[in-house]
This record gives sequence, structure tokens and C-alpha cells, in this order.
Amino acid sequence: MVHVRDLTVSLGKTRILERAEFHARPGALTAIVGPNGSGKTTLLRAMTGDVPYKGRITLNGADIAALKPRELAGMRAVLPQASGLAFPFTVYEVVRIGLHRSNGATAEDTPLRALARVGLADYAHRFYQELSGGEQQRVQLARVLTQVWSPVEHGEPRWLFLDEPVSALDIAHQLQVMEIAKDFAAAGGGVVAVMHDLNLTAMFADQVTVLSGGRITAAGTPSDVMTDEVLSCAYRCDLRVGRTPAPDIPFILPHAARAAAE
Amino acid sequence: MVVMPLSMPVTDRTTRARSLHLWLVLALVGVGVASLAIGATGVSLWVVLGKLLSAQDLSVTERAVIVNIRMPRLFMGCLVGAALAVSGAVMQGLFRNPLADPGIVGVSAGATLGAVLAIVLGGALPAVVFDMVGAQAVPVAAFVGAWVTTLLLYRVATRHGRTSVATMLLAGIALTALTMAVSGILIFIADDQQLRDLTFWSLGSLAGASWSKLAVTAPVILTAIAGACLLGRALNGLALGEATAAHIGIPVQRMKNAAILAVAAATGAAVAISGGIGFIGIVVPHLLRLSTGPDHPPLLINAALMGAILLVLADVFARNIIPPAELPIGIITALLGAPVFLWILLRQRGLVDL
Repeated sequence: MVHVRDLTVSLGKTRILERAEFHARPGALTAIVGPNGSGKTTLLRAMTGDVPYKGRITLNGADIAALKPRELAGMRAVLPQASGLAFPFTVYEVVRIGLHRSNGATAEDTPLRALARVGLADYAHRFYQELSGGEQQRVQLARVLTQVWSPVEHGEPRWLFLDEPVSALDIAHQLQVMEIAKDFAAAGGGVVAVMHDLNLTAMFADQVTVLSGGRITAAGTPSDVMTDEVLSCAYRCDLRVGRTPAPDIPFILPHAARAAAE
Repeated sequence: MVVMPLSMPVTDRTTRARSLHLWLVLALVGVGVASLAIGATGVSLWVVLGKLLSAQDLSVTERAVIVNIRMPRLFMGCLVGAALAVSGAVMQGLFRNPLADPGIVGVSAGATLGAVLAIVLGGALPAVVFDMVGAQAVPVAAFVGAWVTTLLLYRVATRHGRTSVATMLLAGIALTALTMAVSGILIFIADDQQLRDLTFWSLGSLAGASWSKLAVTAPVILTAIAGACLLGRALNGLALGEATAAHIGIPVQRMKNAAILAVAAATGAAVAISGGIGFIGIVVPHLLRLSTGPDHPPLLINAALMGAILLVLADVFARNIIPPAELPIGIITALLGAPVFLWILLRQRGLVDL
């Protein structure tokens, strides 16, 4: 389990998050949605130990503030929004960096398996810096998967923290990446993802947390949370939520507001 | 989940980088033999080896030249070259920039200031102090200067236990300007002989090599290089940024401390005994990254070996171009290094961005 209790994060004098509560369980994909500047990424970055915070965050029952980088790296992997890379590493060399913690305990061919999983098996010996932004994002996902290749280790679930994992991807690869995340959760791991695309969120997430202005305004299943009222209030615009025919999933049409007005 | 066939050959560059270790060791042995064999006095290594094998006694000159002059000089060249090249590679990894150089952490500027202080004001010291440090005043002052500036810079760049490499870079520029200005004042009041000493120190030389100096500096440099070589995997992680490095399990702050300590020790000692020898720290890691890639664990070992080879080679040239006089070795490394480096940059242009 991931438990975030009474979390307050300030950057300088600006309060980014105010007394936030957040929970995620293994076996589920938990999405964090909200408008730009609502504190989504900050919430994720607090959970991954990248920003100083007040409050208490536990991962599988252990306070993350008390865990060493090495111990944390064995429990969770983090996909950042954007990844710079110094020096001309090949794709394979980048993915292999994901083996850092395991010290030989993970099979040597895991990087290649992870690359195959994201559909980039043929790219292993290309230079990372020559790939497109979307391809680089998938290489980073392969690196992250390499770090926590088995979703459950020693009976404990492992976690993926994904910051806008599909932001640079075309629609086919958006689906591919969301399915990889979903499979990881289905195999017993936990996934926490910051999401921009509400339709993908409705389709793939098991739990959704809505943030607005540094506060959590709703949390629950997509069907419970993704309603006209909650989303319109969080994003401060008039949104209409429809339902797909079976399987019954909410969908959001961005121009529905104007269409309704005409 | 579709499991794709994994038949693709992994002919990765790391394997090539590892096999390069052996070739560089062989080259170093070759260059080392040349360095012992060639010199201004005409004492031949082969004659000496022949005498040793047939259990004849060496002449006093032969013993003095080979054992007391050329051998410590060879080892000093290896140590200084390896220290400069490894320090360069570590700094470039730490700053995530192929142009970074030990000079960035203030080592060079501090060492220069120390040396200038010792040369210009050394004579003004009370006789007691001067007798204590004696002929070693310049290297000792250079080493102390290197350390003081590094520690100062580190203090400035560290807030709440986190060291900002960007702040360190900026503060390094300011501190370098300051130490250069102070050195400038001292140079202004120096007499002609002191100016000559200063110029030669700043151009670098291995001429002062001796077994006693080696005994003091070798443990420092070897420990620092060994420590630096252990940072290879962490430097790979750091190439993805500090946040990602922490996520994959690297204790980033501890690693930065270790890297800066190793570089300050290795470069400080190297500059102290040999003066300002440029170019090794940038050229060697860059050449190696071009040929076998940026994977740091083999890169650091190869950098140590190649730095040693290049410096010993440069010293052979420095000693034998205009015998019995010696060119400062810094001139040789720049004369040979700069054109080769430019040629490589021209050839590589547009292929891979640094």
C-alpha cells in the first residue's frame, strides 16, 4: 500500500499541496488528475522522495523518509516527465542502467525483454539522443520496467510511479503504455500515474484522485469520480461526461460545452 | 503478453571497452620501456639489461640515470597522467558535460595561487619554517592551495546538505578570477628569477621526479584513482539526471562527496608535483567515449591507462627534442593534443552530439 497522510508541500513561500491524503493499493492503477498547477506532479514527487514535505508517506508500511535510496529502488521505480541524457549512450545502455540496484540478481537479458515489451527491440543499438521524444519516453519506460521487472518480490508488491507516461506518445503507443501499466497492476504490482488524458484515465484507471488548487477534491472509481460536477469544478470549465455502451465507461468530449450552448 | 525472440546479438560497446584494457596495458609497457631507454645521456637500457642479466655490476652513471632519474620519472608520469585523465572523466560525469575539467572545482586556480605564494614570498618566510618545508615548498603550497579552494567552493555550493553542481560551476568561475587576481598582484611584485620559476611551473614538468617525492604522492594518487574507478556505475546513473540517479538507488550526495574528494586529491597531488599540465583531462576521456562509448566503469580504467601512456610519451618528447635541454611538458601535451582534438571534432561533426 501507499499511504500519504496530512501532506503539505511548500516551494519557497508558495504552498503547493495542503493537507493532502492519498492512498493507492497494489493490484490497481491509481490515476492522479487535475488541471495544470494543481499539484499532481508535486504529489507524485513527494511520494518518490524528490521534494521536501511535511506529513507522513509510507510505502508497503515503511516510512519512505527512513528508507535508504537503495532500499527504495528495490520497492519502486519512477518514470519522470522528461529525461535528459548526458553523453551518447545507446538505447540498450540506457535501459541497462535500470539494473543498477539489482547488482546481478536480475537476469542479464531483462533490458532486452523490457525493450521488446515497449516495442523497441530493434532499437537496442541506436543512439538514444537520435530517437524521437516519444521513442525516448518508451526507452525510459523500458529502463523503469527493468528496475522492477517482477511486480511482486519476496511477497511484497513493487510500485511504478509514472509522471504523465503518455504525454509524448501517439494514440497507439498511448494504449500500449497504458496496457503495460495495467498488466503490471494485474500481476500484483501497484501503479500510480499522473494523467492528463481523462478518457485514457477513465478507460484504464481503477482508482482516480482529483486535485485542484493543491487540495484533493475527489477520490474513488472512475465511474464515481468522473462526473460533470467534479470535473467541471476541478478544471473550471463546463465539461459533459457521457458513457460508452457496454463496457460502461465514462468519456469526456472537450467540445461538449460549446455544443451544448449552441 | 507477447514474448518476442531475444536472438539479437548484444555486441555492445562495453565488451570492446573491456578488451581495450589489455591493449592499453601493452602500450603502456611499450612506452615505459621507451621512456627508460631513450634519454640525453646516451645510457642504453639494453646495455643495462644485458649487464643485469649477466650479473655484471652497473657503472655509477648507469645506475644513476636509469634507477634514480628515468625510473621515478616514468612512474611519476604514469601517476600524473592517470590522475589528470581520471579526474577529467569523473568531473565530466559529475557535471554531465564533456567540457568539464578538474579546474572547475577550483583545484587548478588554488594550486597556482599556492605555487605563486611559495615562489614569490617563500624567501621572506622565517628561516625555521623555510628549513622545514625547504625545497618542497612549492608542491606543498600548491597542494594546500588546491585543497583550500576546493573546500571553499564546496561550502559555497552546498545548501542543506545538497551540493548544486551549477552553483559550483558559477562559484568556480568567480573564485578562479579571484585567485588569478591575487596571483597577478604577486607576479607584479616578483623579481625576474621568480617570474622565470613561475613560468616554468605553470607550463609543467616532470623534471623534479624522485623516489622520495614518489613515496609521498603515489599513495595519495593511487587511492584517489582507485576510489574514482569505483564510481563508474553511479556516474552512469547520474547521466540520467540527479533525480533519476536517486530513484535507481544511488546515494547521490555521498557519491558527489566521494567524487569531489577523489578529484581534489588526485589533481591536487598531480599539479603539486608536475605543475600545470593541460589537455589530458579533456582529450583522453573524449577520445575514449568516441571509440568505446560513455559507459563509465571501463571508461575510467581506460582513461587512467591512456592518460599514463600519453603523459609518458609527451615526456619522452619533452626530454629528447632539444637535448640536453628540456621543453616544458605542458607545451608538448598542448602542441600534440590540441590539433588532434580539433581534427577529431571536425571529423565527428554532425554525427553524434558530443
